[in-house]
Amino acid sequence: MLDHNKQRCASPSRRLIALISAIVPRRFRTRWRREWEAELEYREAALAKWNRFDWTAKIDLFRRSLGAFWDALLLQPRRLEDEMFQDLRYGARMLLKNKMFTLVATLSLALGIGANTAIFSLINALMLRTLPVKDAHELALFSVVRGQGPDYLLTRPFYEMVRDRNQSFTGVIATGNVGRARLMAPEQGAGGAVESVQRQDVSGNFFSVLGVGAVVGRMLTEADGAPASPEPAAVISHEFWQRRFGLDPAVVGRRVTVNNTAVIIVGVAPPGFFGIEVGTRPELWMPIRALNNPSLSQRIAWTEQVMGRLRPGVSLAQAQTEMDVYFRRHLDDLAGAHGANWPPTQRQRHFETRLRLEAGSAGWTDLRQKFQRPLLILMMTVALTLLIACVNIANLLLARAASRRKEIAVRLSLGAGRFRIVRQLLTESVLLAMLGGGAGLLFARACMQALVGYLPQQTRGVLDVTPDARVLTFTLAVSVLTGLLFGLAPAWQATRINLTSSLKDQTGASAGRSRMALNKLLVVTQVALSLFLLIGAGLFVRSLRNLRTLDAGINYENIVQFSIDPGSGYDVTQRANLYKQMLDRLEALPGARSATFSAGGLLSGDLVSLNVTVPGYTPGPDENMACHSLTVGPRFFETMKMPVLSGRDFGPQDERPASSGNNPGFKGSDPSQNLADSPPLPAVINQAMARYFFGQQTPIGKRFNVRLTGQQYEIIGVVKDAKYMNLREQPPRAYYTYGSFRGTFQLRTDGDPAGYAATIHRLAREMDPQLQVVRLRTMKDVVDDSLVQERFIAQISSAFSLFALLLASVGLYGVMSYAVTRRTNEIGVRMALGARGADVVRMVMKETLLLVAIGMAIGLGAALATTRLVSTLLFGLSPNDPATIAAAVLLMIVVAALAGYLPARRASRVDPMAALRCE
Amino acid sequence: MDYGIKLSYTTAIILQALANGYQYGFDIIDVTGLPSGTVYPALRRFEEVGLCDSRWEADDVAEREQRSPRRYYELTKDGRAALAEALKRYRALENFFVGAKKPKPSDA
Repeated sequence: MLDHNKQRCASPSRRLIALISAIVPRRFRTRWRREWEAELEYREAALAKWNRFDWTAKIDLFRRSLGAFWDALLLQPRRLEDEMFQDLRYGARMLLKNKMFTLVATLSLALGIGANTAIFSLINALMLRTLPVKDAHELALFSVVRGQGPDYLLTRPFYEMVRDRNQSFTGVIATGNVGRARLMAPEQGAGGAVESVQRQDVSGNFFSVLGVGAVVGRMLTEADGAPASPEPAAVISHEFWQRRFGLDPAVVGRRVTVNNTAVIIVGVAPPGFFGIEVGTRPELWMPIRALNNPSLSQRIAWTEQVMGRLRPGVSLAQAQTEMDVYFRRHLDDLAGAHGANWPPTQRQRHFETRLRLEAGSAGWTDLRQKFQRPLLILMMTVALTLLIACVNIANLLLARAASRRKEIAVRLSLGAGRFRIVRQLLTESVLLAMLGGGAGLLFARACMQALVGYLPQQTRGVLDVTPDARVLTFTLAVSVLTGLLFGLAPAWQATRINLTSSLKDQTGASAGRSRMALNKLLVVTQVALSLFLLIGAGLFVRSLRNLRTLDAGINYENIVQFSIDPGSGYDVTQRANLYKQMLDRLEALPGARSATFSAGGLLSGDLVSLNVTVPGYTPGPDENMACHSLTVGPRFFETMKMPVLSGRDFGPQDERPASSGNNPGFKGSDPSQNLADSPPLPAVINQAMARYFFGQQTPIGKRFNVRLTGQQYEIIGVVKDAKYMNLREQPPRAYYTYGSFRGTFQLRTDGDPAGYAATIHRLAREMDPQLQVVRLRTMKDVVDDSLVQERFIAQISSAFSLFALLLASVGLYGVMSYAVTRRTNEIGVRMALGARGADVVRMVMKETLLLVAIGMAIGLGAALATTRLVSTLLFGLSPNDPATIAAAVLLMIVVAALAGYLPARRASRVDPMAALRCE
Repeated sequence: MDYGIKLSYTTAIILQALANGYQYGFDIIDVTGLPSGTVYPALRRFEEVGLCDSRWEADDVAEREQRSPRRYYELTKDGRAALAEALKRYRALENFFVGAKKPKPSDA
């Protein structure tokens, strides 16, 4: 091949080609350059021969050479393609060669990445997933901030004011809570069976603002909400249409009764639509009927969720400013209508209430409040565990890189770029991490089952936790980052080798020591992280135990509770008989100890609080005179095992005929009845109330009044304090009244209460086929539900911190083992000079424990600095609880000592002669 | 049929130029008037999907003329089929090089 290039190098076009050739992938470079230069050479020669090689020709050729840049640019993808495939193939081969390592690494990565994915899935489902409506990003959610956390309930008059007068929104909707309703769909001829459905009342523009159209029929409109419309319209969900009506299009126009009101079904919503409350599945939507008497003289009821769709071009902040004005006006209106008797602090608190607009694309749920903090804490725990796993793998890779020194040295000496080799090693790591990520997705599925078990029962089947694009992207990103994280250090280390000594198979002493330093640093990090996690988990576990074992004032084992919905066919007397009959039949069951009922279940969170006045006690100007109030049935205290400390329990002499309205304060009572004149009703108060109002005096025989109804009560007994709303609270003042024949039944059984579920359903059916048994659960479940946050954190963080401990100890073992192997020579010398086995063990253990001690110091410091942040989640112990810390430290020392002892013992068994012989 | 490239007007022109005997990169640039940044990437793409082959000129030819061997491109059977399809689409192409003199072909 003749090379004429030297002679004509001066040509600017040629120089340009030489410049551009720098970016052409190495494989093609020579050939590419020759092609272009040959063309230029030919052209230049031809032009020169015909004396046409003037300036214009030169410029033209130069312009043509500029196009070479484009050509070189479009060759770039080939570079990555070829080299990347090469890297991948090589990486796969390496992984297959070391099957054991690959398996162990994949498993620990799968656990770490899978757990991260599972928790992120839950976070996604609860907090991030957008609602299945049109342009969800335009939605804004109204919330009210009063002191602690926001709540999402506003008043009807405020909603109407905003709806009619706002400038920022194209539409504003209001929704009520999703609740149970009785639905009856009469079939041809026979009367249909009653079933429970989930029903939600919504404003007329609900569907139109959300941009949701009907699958058949029509959606609700504004007109449906007018008070004048004769027959309320209803829209059903797609799932309900499928389940109950078999996708029959004739459902449009079908008449059904909902809670004894005749309703006409006008349409079906699209599949997957559930409204705006995440974790619910309403089956029926009905319009909120405008009040017949809309005036603010009604009690202030904060009952509606409100959401608006922002006008194009209006930002959330602008809308917030406008809404603040309306809210302030509303607060003024409320104060004007109701606040005549408010004490100054209540007035101040009233006006401190703030409205806040939030992005509504993810809807709302009260689960968010409950689970946000625990989920974030768990996310951190799991991320740290993954980090520990990464460190382990990095350590292993460091060790392996050392054994591949020769191979890498050869490649470097043959001219491979260092960056190229690092890239190839990284490809291996990322490949391993992707394997771990793929396996992790499978593990995440199992993990999700466990996590979902912590959600409240009604949400469990309903929350959509399938991984969507966001979750999968998250998993991919975590996998790749993980691979880079544990691959980078070993890859860089591996290429920083002394070529000559590596090729000659020598072990350079100084290089070795610096490599060991990196390993040791990594192990110290692992120990620190593990201890940090252990301390955290220990605190949560002990908190949970404290909550579980505290004296709740009631014995909640072996109790099953349920409510019944008798429907409309019962007047007050019949209802009372029904309850009495149910009690008798319950107590007649085999294994039943006693049965009772109460207006609300304890620890279920649905109790009433009313202001009282006590003759003889003058309250201060601002004093809170509210007491919890619970109406109970016969043998309540006996069933709940709450000891009556003085006075007596309710008995048959306290029964009133059902028609005498002896359930003041509840729905259905007639507020026009003047109860102040009727004889006092019996009440039992708890210790807290007795102490508060009567001090050391006996309260038996004394009286008090309920402000709202004027009803007077006479105290007949004092019962031990109990927890009412949740286990953490201080027992509030509470009083119990008798009768009322509505509410939750409680049955105390000898054996496992869960086994009575079928029997109770049978009982109800026998008494009346239309009777619905609802909310049947054991009281233990109720308590567990109230502790869900604590259980969630405690159980999962302890699982992961123990796993982290295992990983760290494996890492420690690995590093010490490796260190011992490398120092076989040195140990041989020592033993030849007279050291005994025990001395060698001591030497190795000292080194191990030094590493552990440094790690623990760091971990302890980090823990002490940060546990303050979770103190609100703890119960019964301080964030720096010494017992917990001591236990964690002890556990760490024991495990670490064991991990270090095994290599130490191996070191002591070294045969000095053999060690000295192998150099 | 999918030839692996989009049969645009530009690619059709280049195919036709190749078929008419213009087999060197710069010659194609001259005769089609397309810029080098279009022609060369197109030629590379044709080669990738098998519509043409490329070869270095014979050494003796280059030696004789005291220059480096150039690279020339030849249409394959698939390339000819693609050109036929392109001609169906762009009728005017047939007349594009009518009267253009074919340069002396170099052989392998």
